[in-house]
Amino acid sequence: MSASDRAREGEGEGIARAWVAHLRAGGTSTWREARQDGLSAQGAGGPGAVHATIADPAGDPLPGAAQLELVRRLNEECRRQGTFSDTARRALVDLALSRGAPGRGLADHPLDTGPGQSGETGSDEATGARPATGAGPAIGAPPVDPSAVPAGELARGGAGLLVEILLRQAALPSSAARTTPGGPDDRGTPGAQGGRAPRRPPTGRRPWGRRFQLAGAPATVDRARAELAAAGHHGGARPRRVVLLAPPLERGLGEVWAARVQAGAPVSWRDFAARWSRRDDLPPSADLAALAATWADLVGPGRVHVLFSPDTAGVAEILRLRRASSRAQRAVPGARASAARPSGALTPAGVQALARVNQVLTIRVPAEQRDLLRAQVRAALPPRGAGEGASAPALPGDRGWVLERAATTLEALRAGGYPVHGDPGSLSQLLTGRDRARGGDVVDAMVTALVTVVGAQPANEGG
Amino acid sequence: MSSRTVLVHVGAPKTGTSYVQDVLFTHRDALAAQGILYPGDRFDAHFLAALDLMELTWGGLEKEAVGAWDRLAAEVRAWPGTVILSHEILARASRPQVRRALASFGEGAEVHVVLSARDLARQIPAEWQENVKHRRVVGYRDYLETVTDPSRRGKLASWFWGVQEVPDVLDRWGATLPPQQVHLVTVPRPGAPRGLLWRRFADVLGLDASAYAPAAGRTNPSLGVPETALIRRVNARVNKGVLANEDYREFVRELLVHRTLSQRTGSPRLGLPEDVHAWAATLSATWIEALATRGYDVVGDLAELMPDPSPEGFSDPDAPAEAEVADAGTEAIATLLVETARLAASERSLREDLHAAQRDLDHVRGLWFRTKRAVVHGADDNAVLGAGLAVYRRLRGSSSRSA
Repeated sequence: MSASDRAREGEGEGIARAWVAHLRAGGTSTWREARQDGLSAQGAGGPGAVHATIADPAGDPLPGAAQLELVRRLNEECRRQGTFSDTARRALVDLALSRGAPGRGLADHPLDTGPGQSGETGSDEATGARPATGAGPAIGAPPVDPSAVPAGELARGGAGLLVEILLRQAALPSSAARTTPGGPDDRGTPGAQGGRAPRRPPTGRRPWGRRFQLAGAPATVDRARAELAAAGHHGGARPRRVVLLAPPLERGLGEVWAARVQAGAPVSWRDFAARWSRRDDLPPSADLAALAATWADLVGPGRVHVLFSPDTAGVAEILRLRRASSRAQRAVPGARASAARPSGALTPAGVQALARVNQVLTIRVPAEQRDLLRAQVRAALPPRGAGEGASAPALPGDRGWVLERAATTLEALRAGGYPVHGDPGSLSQLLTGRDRARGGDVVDAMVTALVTVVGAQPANEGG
Repeated sequence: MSSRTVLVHVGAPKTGTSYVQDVLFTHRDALAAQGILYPGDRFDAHFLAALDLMELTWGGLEKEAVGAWDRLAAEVRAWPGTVILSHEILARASRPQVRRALASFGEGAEVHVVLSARDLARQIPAEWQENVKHRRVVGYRDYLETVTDPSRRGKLASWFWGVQEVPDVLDRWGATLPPQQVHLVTVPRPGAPRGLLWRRFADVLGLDASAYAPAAGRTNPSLGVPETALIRRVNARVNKGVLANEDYREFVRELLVHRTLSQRTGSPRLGLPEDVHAWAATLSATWIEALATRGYDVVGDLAELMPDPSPEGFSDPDAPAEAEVADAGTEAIATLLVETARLAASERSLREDLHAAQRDLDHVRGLWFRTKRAVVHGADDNAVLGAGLAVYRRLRGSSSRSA
């Protein structure tokens, strides 16, 4: 390396330290902007936005590019949410800059401080680390512009940070296993009523109500169950009729994946899909033929109804629940609200982010305490809007196996003699669009959850 | 050394680490009597601690690792003398993780980092084999292209460089230590005197090499080319939910690889193709040059990190001799048949024990219970009996059916 190269590299490190300080102070400039600002400031003699801040102390190792980019995005989200103090933000940033990312991936992403204008920014997970621009020995991972760090690496760091924050916030009481999970606002203390069991809220269940059971794709079933409950129809054990809710098979598989992730599975959509494709089989709650046969053994095939493209009105019609009384609705306060927020309503990116968090929870938190933390993360992830797509993206790779499975399912349902409602052909409908959540969306979901979790703490002097 | 000394052996994989760990664990009581602690109450305690430190998942084993590093570090802090920690995956720790590890040893501890290293021409094939033994199906040439790509993109390359890039590993672990507390043990070349590597380890760990006879038990043996090709094909058939991780560990990795196929020493050994060998030699020269300037304590010779000249006759595991693979496959089938017969005999014996226990229980329960059970069993095949039982259950108000 020549003397001029060394001088330029030292200059690059100086700009980097100013940029780190800028980020610690809440700045949101990119590394490219910082370099342009720093270089032009030196050339013109005027302080730029980044240059004006006090540089991070020399001697301490520079944080990695992935940490820095995550912090920049956290600052952006803090500004967007604008709900808590700079002290809380600074604590979040300091923690993000001090800890390594969990799991596999590069041990370090050195910041590219080499001479020359920082290169083109990459986009999402498809973009890997750029080769070093410096001419030093080929030791260590190649330096990289933070905006080119793959989204998967940012999400990896974000997941570790999120779990670390939850653990540090002492949101985990020693009696965590006995606390009912239910989100950050669910802080009910068991036994707070002087040892008496809490009174069970009125369910609106009527002894003369119809006994039915819903089965099939988890989110679809949850939604229908909640809407029927809001109208005073609760079904229950020993049903006389069973309705199998059958959305398109590909969509149903996505619902199973989302449900499993929300129950703690650390599995990505790609791995989930590959596993079932390899087995050429269906998970139990998406296997309509097996579900129908199981229920038929208990109530008889004539009482197992299969509803394609299901909606609650269709279920009510099959069960002859059309006279759902307004009185029943009044008897169940809050039922409408719960129906409006079904448990499966995360975006595919949100589910993918939660799957990453599950990986970290597995290694950081004892099994009996994971549900509580997962519920907090779940509540902090951005919800999916009404009518906003499916629980999962399209299946990756060749989708022939799922079409074959749909065909054999229909054949089995026909052979079983079950009453069928709706269009059986809808079972084979395929989703259009991407076959994975966009990496950038997963990072956005993770960043939103991080800032929401920090902002939700009363100790953070909100506002 | 100060009164509290912590020696952290951080790798690298495939450099005799299992051998060292076996000796240390086997002799831990004798070591403790000499004031040297090899902590942990189970053989894999250091592995679990490393998983915890790096928040790494490992085929479900991570569930046993929650809090393992803090427990190990507490033992370190509580011991007044020398402590040795050893696990090869520690080599992958990032700088923040290294900072956490060193801080966890407490104030006043003199920390020494030990890294054992072997030349790249042996490490690259060994790492691919290790990947195959951990269910991967990636071909050898694809693997070589991945690890030689400067971007280090993907899990395979990032892991390989994370644990095998000697100057970088030592930079991460040794950045805050005086260079004389950073020890690099080089693995002797093939044909070196037996026991030389152990003597080097013993030297740096402060042990009497002759006093602790290496145990014959646990090693991490290598496979030949056709055997590795066979396991890779097996992986393709049993992955993605066909064989659970714990079953894979027991039947494929332990039974087939470690106890059966690794004993076949006559098959061709895996090396590097000529182009990659030349690339590895160039890179190794860069490493040796960088390491020579750092002032580390080198136990052995840096020149041992330079690969031997490329041997002739590279045997390609992506296109193995099919007869040799079939031969290895036949031996694998025979081994699995013997194991199946052993498990079947064990199951028969357990069934007999169970039936005997049921007979004893029936005898104790008496005639009324046996009659009720006969009715319930009969109801499965007799419609009248079944209907009667259903009426009885309804009247009684309970059912054994699950909803």
